[in-house]
Amino acid sequence: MDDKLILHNRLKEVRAEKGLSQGDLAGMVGVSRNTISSVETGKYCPTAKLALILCIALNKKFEEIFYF
Amino acid sequence: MQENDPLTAKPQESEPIQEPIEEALPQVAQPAQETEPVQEVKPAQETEQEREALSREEVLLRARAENAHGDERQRSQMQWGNYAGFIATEFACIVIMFVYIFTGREFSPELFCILFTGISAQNIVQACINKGKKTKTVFIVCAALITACTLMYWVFWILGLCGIRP
Repeated sequence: MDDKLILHNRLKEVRAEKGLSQGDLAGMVGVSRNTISSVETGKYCPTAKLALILCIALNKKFEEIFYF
Repeated sequence: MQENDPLTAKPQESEPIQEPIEEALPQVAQPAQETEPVQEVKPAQETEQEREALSREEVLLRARAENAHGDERQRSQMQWGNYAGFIATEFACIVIMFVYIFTGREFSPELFCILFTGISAQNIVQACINKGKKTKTVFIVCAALITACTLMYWVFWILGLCGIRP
């Protein structure tokens, strides 16, 4: 019952691959740096819209960044 | 056909009855199925083309414009803050009311003025922010009632300060 599906992500790794800082990615997408940090650490689960925008910004498929 | 094959009359009798029905049904259904999708496919194709037309830069540009006044996380935090403020103010009011009713202790009119003004402001904020039709109307009604009461209380209090008691 406690085994909830948690959406994990590889945002930090992908961002580092692209050579972008949290601030750069935040600036590209138009969100705050805290939001990017919260998504990376798993404190905040992004909506489908933000997740897809992050994928578009990083030129990656959804499943390449987000996974269960 | 039936007269030429007397030995195989039984299987052939049953088959010709089923075949025309089976053949006839798709013929009736086909024109209806063909005409409907033709009308529906065009708008679907158009929307797909529109979606494809949105380039990466355009999506990012629109996202930045949308999030100019705070992203979704900040907005949800603000909403929770508003709810917390609303509940805290309402709770304070209820506690003071209970203390007033059961102990008969008198509070200063300034405290009530501040409290009612706070509740009124909270209701107005919630009425403006809330998107749900039912909750929005509830907040609008509450805001109108409490604001009216607050204004009346302020007027009476100011008149009391001036020495006028209606």
